[in-house]
Amino acid sequence: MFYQVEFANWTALVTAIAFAASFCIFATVVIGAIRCSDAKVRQLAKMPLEEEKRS
Amino acid sequence: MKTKTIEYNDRVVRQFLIASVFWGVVAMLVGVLIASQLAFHVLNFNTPWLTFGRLRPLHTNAAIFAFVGNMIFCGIYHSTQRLVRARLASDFLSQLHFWGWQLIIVAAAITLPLGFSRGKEYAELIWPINIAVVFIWVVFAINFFWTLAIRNEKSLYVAIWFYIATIITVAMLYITNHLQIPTSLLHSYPIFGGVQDALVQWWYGHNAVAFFLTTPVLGIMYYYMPKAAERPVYSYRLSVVHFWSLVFIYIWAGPHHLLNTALPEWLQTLGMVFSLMLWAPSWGGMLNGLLTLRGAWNKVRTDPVLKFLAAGVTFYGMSTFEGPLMAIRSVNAVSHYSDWTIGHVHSGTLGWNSFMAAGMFYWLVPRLWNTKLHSTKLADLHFWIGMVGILLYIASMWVSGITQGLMLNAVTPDGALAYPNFLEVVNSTRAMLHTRILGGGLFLTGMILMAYNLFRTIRSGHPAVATIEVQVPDVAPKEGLSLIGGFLNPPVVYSFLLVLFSCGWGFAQGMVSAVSLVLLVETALVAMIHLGLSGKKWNEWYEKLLESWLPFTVLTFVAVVAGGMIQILPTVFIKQTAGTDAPIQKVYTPLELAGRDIYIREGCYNCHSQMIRSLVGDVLRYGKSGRLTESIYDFPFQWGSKRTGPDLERVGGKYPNIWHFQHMMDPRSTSIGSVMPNYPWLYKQVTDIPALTSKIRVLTGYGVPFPPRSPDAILQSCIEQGNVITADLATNGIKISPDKEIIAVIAYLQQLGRYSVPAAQPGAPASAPASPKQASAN
Repeated sequence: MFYQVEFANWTALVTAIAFAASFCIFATVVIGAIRCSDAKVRQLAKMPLEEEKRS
Repeated sequence: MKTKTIEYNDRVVRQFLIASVFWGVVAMLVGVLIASQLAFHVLNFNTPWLTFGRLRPLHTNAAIFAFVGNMIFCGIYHSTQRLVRARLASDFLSQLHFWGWQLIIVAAAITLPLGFSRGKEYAELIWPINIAVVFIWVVFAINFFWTLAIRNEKSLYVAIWFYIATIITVAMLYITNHLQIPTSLLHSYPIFGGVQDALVQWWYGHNAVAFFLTTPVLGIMYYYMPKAAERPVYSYRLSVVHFWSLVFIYIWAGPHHLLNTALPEWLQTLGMVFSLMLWAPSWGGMLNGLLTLRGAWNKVRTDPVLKFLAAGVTFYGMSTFEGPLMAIRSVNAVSHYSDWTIGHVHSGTLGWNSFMAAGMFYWLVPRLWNTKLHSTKLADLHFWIGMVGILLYIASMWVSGITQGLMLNAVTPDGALAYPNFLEVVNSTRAMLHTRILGGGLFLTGMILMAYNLFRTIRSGHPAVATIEVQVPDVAPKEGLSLIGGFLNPPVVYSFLLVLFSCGWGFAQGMVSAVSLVLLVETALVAMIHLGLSGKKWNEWYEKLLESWLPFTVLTFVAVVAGGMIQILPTVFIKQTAGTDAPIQKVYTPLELAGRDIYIREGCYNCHSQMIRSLVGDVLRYGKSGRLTESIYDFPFQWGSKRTGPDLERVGGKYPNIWHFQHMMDPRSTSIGSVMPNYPWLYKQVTDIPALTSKIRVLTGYGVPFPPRSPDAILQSCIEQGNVITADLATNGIKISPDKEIIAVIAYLQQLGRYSVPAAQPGAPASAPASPKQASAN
């Protein structure tokens, strides 16, 4: 397929940096979520259950 | 600390809810009509604005942007206010958002049947409407983020994350795929053409499903499912992993819409692999939703809200299982261009979106109008009618699609097509087309029942005023994390360096690879020591992030934009014709260009592809497989996504002019059993030649090598080419003026598949077929 197109060298660098940026965010936040304290998680999970007054 | 009473703005929530129900009924009514047109061509009524090609974009746009769009705005505005314990920041912006969005829908409902179309699926709306969409989306974003900024709850619940991802990603996708230059007040050409346009279009098209039809509805699921079940989400940690996995993976999967085409191999593989990876987060999310009902399953029997939500989440699981399956190249060879895809998208929109909408509406309306649901039995009836309708719809499309895929690819032992006549395939699935009408009709009936039930409920109540008391500190607290702090902190920096050095080690060569390996090991050691010594830092950073919407939003944006860049940039910056000996598309003559614009106006791309895949069945049926260079002057590309009729990439010269003339007047006269509409108006309407001047000017600006021509020369060229066609038709006793639209359409169709051989082969004649070497290389 590549015989049809001519890629610039810089696209490889862009690809690597973009992938690194994306994957590092994914890795850090998932690890962060796993290590998040139980108290914080419980507090967050119950947020939708709060009731309001209606008139 | 002081106590403050907040009154929520539920007026706009009620408005979006009513609009969603109304447009939902309209969208599905049009859907049933176009499904009927595919089975009974007379239902096109020989009327331009009622033909399938123009109404199908109306149906898809109405279902996506009018029905689901209003539904997600309703859910987002209602749940966000409760989750952040604050009234929407601006009543004015809320009203501007609502009325602006409805005006856009009305504009779409007028322009699409009139044939004003950009010719790109789910992006057909013309440029003035595109600008209005962007403006209203910005209004929505300002209103939403402003509300987050004035919130009275520090932490951001996971539903808010899904809403943030929706807002920023849809903006990015919509703007990129709608970059265009107008040629007139109602017409424009996209700046991308050929393979670039194909990639940008399906990057947008796939992620419109992901970030317009999925992530906001997941946010709604994570709010309303616990609400209706009266218990917290099964696993909050799983919901976080679900969110980040979807955001990270979804954006990469677009190229699976272009498998087995001329798209570069590496992009096809990328799309397929990331699609398969989507199985895990999608099913994680589905299980998280269903397991939230643990201990409450008995309520599902009696509560229509939980019935709809549970079934909706189950359909989410089904369609997100089916999607990656269809992204496997060998499965895609059968499913693509067939009714299977139609069944798949309807299991998502009817099963997932519509059922989630119904569950949310049945829960919301009694609360928003301070009353009780008019009839639980009617809601139950809606559920069962809708369920039977969906199952009939998707089962018939599976049977029809798999039949089409297998028959079109079938080859006899001696290497010939088993079913050479395309119409044999069309007619073999007629019973399934009728079943689809029944299924769609049942689902529409359920929607009408819901509209009636909700109307009676609203009539029995009055708009409720919802309030909540909040504790407000005397001094407004600062955000937990600054924008810079979101990035410049040990976990993110170490992760970035580790991934970057891994890429260097894995993909570079020689010294760069060796140095990358050393740096990778060193960074890993330093990170372990650093984070080990200050063990709390990681958690602190993350918990602060949960309370800081701005860095969170930017991190989400970086994650989605990176996936897009990797796919889009290489094809945007390649020199498509450099160093190639492959045939290059011929530049259109003015008349052919006019014919192409009529082809787009009539929505022919809804039923005809222009991309012969590198599959035996395709090549035997239509000719050599398509190459990148053969559509480089197509703005927009016309590869299509469905073959209700045959592929047209190389239809030029296959039939005489008289065949096309008669076929467009009455397709059954040349193709017995065809379901194509008649196009009698093409024989009366005059081709818009004056518009070609600005069209050619814009395309020349894109790099299409049109020879310089004055407006008079353009007119002369059209007349000359038109005369050649009319003279040929006259030999068959047909008398028609060369300025009629049918002549332009014939000129366009007859040049499809004609190409030039590049200057690298000076001895080769123009329009020569590609060499076997070139054909096999593809």
